[in-house]
Amino acid sequence: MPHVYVVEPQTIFGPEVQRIVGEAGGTVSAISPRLDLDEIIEAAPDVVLLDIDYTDYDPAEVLDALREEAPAVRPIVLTSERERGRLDRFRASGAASVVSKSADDDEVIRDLRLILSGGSVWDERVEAA
Amino acid sequence: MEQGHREPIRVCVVEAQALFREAWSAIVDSADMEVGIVVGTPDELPARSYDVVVLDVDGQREPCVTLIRRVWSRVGKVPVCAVAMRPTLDVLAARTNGDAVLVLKSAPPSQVRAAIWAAARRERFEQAVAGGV
Repeated sequence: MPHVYVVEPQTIFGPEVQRIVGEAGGTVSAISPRLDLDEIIEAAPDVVLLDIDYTDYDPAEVLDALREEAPAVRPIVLTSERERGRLDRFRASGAASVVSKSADDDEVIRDLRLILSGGSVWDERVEAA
Repeated sequence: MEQGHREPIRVCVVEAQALFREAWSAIVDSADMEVGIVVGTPDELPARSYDVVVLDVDGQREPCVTLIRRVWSRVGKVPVCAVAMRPTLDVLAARTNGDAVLVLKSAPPSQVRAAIWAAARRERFEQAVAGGV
């Protein structure tokens, strides 16, 4: 099972993210409300699931840093963001996939299952904006 | 706090993030309260009565005070429990005005339920977090 490090600032939804990752076939190795690059590098997960909404950092810069310092980790962006330019920036910075929070849990589980087995998802809700 | 009531209070949730709509039952459902419906925006609320509306203000396109007015225009002046990542001026204003009880998303589920309960009973609620809310 792929090990997934989750960054979910909305701690109230942490257990739900854990459930979704589990149903998609992953194992949550850690879940944190804050982004800590050193902690992620030390945890050496297969995947980092980053909820980039409501954070104090620039997600694109974080993706750049992850690509440089932990190239083996596949970053997945979880967001309600729909602006095309921002999505392109995430892709250019090395996001393996973008999953939309506008999708319901069944859709996200399906997408994550594909991503965790090596595929890539660029949610059409984001692309269509 | 949650004693002496036979019927659980009926909770309606407004949650913009579709991904997290299912999560609310796990957070709220208990002997004293249960989620009746979860919708994406105040305008999607069925026009019927609820004991309390939980309003996740994050991800919505309007200020908290406007959202509360929209809730009231749909279902009458029901108690509102606003849930937010951060205590922004807009959200704090809603609490100061007495329009809503406020609880942050950093609270454990037990505190969220306590806030919902307080809102339903039109009582004050102070979240136990460092520095207060």
